[in-house]
Amino acid sequence: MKREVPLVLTFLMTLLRFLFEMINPLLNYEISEGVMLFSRISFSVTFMYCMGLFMGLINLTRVHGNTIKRRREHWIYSVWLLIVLYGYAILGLFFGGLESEAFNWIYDAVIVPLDSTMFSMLAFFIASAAYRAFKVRNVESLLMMVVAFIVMLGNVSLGNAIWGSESWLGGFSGIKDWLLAIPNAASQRAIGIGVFLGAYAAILRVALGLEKRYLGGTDW
Amino acid sequence: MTTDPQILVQAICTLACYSYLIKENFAYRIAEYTLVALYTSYQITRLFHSFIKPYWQNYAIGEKQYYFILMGALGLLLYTRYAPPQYRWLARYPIALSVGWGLGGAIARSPRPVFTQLMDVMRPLNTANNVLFFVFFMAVMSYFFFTTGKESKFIQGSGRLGRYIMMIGFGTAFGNTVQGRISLFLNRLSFLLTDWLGISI
Repeated sequence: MKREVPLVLTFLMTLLRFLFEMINPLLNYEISEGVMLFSRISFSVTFMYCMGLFMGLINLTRVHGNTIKRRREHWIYSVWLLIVLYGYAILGLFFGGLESEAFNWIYDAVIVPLDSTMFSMLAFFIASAAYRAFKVRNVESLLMMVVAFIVMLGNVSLGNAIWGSESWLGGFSGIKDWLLAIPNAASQRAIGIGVFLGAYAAILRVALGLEKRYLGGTDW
Repeated sequence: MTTDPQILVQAICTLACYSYLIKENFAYRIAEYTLVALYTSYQITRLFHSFIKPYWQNYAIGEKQYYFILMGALGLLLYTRYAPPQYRWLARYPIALSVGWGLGGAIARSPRPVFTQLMDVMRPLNTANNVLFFVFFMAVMSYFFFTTGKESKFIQGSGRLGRYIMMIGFGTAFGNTVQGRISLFLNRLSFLLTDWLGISI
């Protein structure tokens, strides 16, 4: 009841969706004028798991609530996080939602620049990590560094000024295009196929009930 | 310098983030915690207004599709994970239903793009590039042949070539990633100089 029924349910839902995807008349079956059975089941499943949307809020509250309660290091930031979390959620849920002017103002003024700046900072971290990790020790690391250098030069106007696209081999830009289209594409495809086979085996294991960890702990 | 409060807040947020490059500090931590909190709330609001509210109003109430109420109640079982241990197993039901539905789609759909790519690999060997593409592809595949790799000299050599080709692939990915991040950095720099300080560049 606690583990077996969910495993059977997973298998049945997998089978149902698979049949919908593979049998065209079933996929296009209408329960009434213009209402597809498949889309209704799909929407209801989406509706079901969207009901868990407050779990993020609850988890953050539990983690940071504990930090505040135990006065752990940096607990004051947790107070700030909870104020912002609940303030913005209340604004979004009860005061106009996605069309609210205040909600969108905060999104544009804070989330967009913070998100973009956090990602841009990775340039510095990648550069410092590359300096430490990619010392040219063998042919493989030499190849990687030379190719990365050519790709970067091929993308910028400085590379075009040093070795223009009109000259021999199409310059840095031409070599970059060839590297992307032939060796890079070949290696990515081969790796992609390997990844796919592994992932597909894992999917089948879950569908057949051989892999059960997604259902959570064994103590309950 | 601009007096637009929104640009001012954007500039403060940007500078607070970059202050981490000198040393971890109060401004950076506030920025970090603010982003986590705002992003969580934003996603909750988006999901609520894009799925829960319209689906409830249009289907459960409007079209009288009452199974939406049942599915909603099943979805609420997810919260039994926070209940006493004897009720926590109830959360497995909505998880099983949604995982199963997703897996069925993945089993049917995920091979399609891979087979399309595989078909493209088998190009007619009429140009040097096509021959090279095929050789490189087979070499990378042979790198992952662990069963015969140790005995066969051919597979060993081909695997070594495959390793070089993969390093070329990783090099292009690395170069593109670094440049992507640098362009984001330049975008922020351009914002600070042009939009905030009003310096034309």
